[in-house]
Amino acid sequence: MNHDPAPLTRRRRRGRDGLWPLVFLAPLMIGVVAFYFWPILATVLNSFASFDPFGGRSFAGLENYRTLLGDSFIPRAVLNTAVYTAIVLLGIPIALVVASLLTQKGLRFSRFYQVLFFLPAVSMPVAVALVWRMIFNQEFGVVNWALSVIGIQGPYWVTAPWWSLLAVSVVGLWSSLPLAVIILSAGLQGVPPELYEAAQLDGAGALKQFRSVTVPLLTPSIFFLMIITAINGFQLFDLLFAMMGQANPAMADTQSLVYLFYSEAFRQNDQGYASVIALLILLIIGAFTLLQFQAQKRWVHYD
Amino acid sequence: MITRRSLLGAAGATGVALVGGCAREPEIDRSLEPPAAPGDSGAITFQIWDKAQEPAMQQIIDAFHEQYPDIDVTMSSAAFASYFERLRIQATGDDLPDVFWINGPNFELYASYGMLQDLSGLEGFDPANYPENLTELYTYQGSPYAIPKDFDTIALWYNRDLLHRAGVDEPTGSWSWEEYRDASETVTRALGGEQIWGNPGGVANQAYIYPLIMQAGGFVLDEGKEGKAVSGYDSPGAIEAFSFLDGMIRDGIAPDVRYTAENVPSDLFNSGRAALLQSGNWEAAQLQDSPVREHLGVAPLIHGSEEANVIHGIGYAMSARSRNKPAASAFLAFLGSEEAHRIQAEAGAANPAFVGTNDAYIEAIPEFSLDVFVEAAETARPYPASQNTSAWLQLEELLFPKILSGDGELEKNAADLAMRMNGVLADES
Repeated sequence: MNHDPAPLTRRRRRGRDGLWPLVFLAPLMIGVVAFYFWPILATVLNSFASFDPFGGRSFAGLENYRTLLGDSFIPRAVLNTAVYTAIVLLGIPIALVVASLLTQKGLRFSRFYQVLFFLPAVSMPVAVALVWRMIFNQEFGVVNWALSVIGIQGPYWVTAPWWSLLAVSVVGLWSSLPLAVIILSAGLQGVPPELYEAAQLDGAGALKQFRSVTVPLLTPSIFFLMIITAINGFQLFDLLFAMMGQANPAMADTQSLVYLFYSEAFRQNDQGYASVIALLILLIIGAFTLLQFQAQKRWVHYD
Repeated sequence: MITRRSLLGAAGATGVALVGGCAREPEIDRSLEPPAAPGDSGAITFQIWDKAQEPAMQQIIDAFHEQYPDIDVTMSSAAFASYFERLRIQATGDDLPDVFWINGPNFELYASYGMLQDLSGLEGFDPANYPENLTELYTYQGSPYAIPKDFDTIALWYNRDLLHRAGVDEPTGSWSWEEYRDASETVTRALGGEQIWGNPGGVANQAYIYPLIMQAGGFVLDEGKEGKAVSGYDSPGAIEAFSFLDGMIRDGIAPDVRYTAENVPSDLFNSGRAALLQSGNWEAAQLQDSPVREHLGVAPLIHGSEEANVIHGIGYAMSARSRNKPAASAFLAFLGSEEAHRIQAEAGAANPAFVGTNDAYIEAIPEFSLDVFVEAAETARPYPASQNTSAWLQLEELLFPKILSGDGELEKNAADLAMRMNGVLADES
């Protein structure tokens, strides 16, 4: 009679529960495995394969990885994607200013402004892209008309290299504002009013309050937005595709990584190489997100 | 009782089945059975991509029904933009329609992977009934795998009114490159103030760049060593053609590619903002409704040091795995018949491929003298295509505009296109 009762109880409890925990987890786990883990694993496997257009597959070793290293489109696509992401990230400070203006006490028509700023989020991306394409039209566009009023001849926004990337990025920034404004507005409403009162008593002006009270308390929301916005930025595709259109001389210099992925998988019928590009995108996003998580320790306040 | 072992076993078996399912079945029945007799019954599917041609195709099906009342033909149409994506998925899933449209860029892909039925023994089909350069497009390793449906060639559309206002005589025969350039220049200089161009530029491949390259003695695609095709985009003829177009852009005679990316050349011509448009007979359908249609005419294509036109047409193909080959054979033979070609011609749907039926098409759109396009077919060269044409078509889409972008690196960009295209061609089996 010198056995220890504790392990017995534990064992018995597990035995009583049987497979039930797994059964209850299954609906979620099946989804996660089938739609997240399996595709990632399949992409890794496919990156070592050579495909024929009708799904036949053969082992190709590192061939696709060698292609990646020799592909001159890749460095430019990485650069384009990074520039786009950087510009879209500028939307967060803009959204911060907009959100603090929108949540000011006593602002008239604040609901109306909120609706205005949320509109881009409920518009169809392709429709948005086509409208912006017209706005940026060199000959008839509103932007160049406005520039001509002040005596500047506007560039070919959508069909000249670099200008095209800038135009696409501006629209990307514009489309990313609603989410940022919503999240930051919510964050602002969570700031305790007594902190502002205390700051006021200490003699802080509006700007000082914004810098020393508002921004530090919003850092968790800002951090969250940076992660989400960067991930979306690295996945630039539909906006670029719809805004640039056909026969565009700037396209070769404005391709994004996902655009290259699309070309390889669906136009070149080379799913093996497309898988390598997909892994590269995964790697870049993963590394950048990790970096951000490391850096946040220095500037995000969780208290 | 379910044990872990049996579960694992089942999982393993499923895995093996999955892998096995992925492998290509080695044996399919490739023989072409004799076509169904008029009294036989059957049901087949027929897939096309052009909604505008649906009524004409339905008329053909109705005529077929009069001869074969018990064969059911179900037609479906998918938008062209996604048609070949869909066809590829159907082929992968062994679910191809019995009879379907195919085009030059995709033909060899399907033929070389055994997706198409060899039509050598099809009763009622004689390749001699169609232009040779067209049947050549649909021949793979010496055997026909599709029946020509229609064809497009290229000619010079012009706007009489704009030419007259600029003091240019309308073309009566084939212009040389110089005459074309001079006429374009005169119109642009005279009417440029009204935002009217001599020619609307652009980077169209089949209608503009292919014929020019061939006219300069160059080639798009040629047999290279070891049976692999090679790209001709770095050949002297190609550089000459690109430089000709680039020169007109540089001298302000034709709009530059940044402009034409926003203002499609055929739209410019269609709305009376360009005097000349080198394009195919497919424009006829649009131009019939153009606000300037009464001023429009067609002249033979321009020529360089050589004469060269490019012919392309849609083909009717049968799935090699069709489950109802007798009925499909009967329908396919009818699609290729003079009667069917006459029906689509009279409907004005497309320029028929069956030699001798073109008059019906020319008369269906009497506004323009479309016989120019029919005459061009006799000497036109086959549309350049290889096994994975769609892959290098995308490279053209990406790099033609860059070659003509005036960035001072025309030859380097052309060499880049040739190099990338050769990479695609080298991967072909």
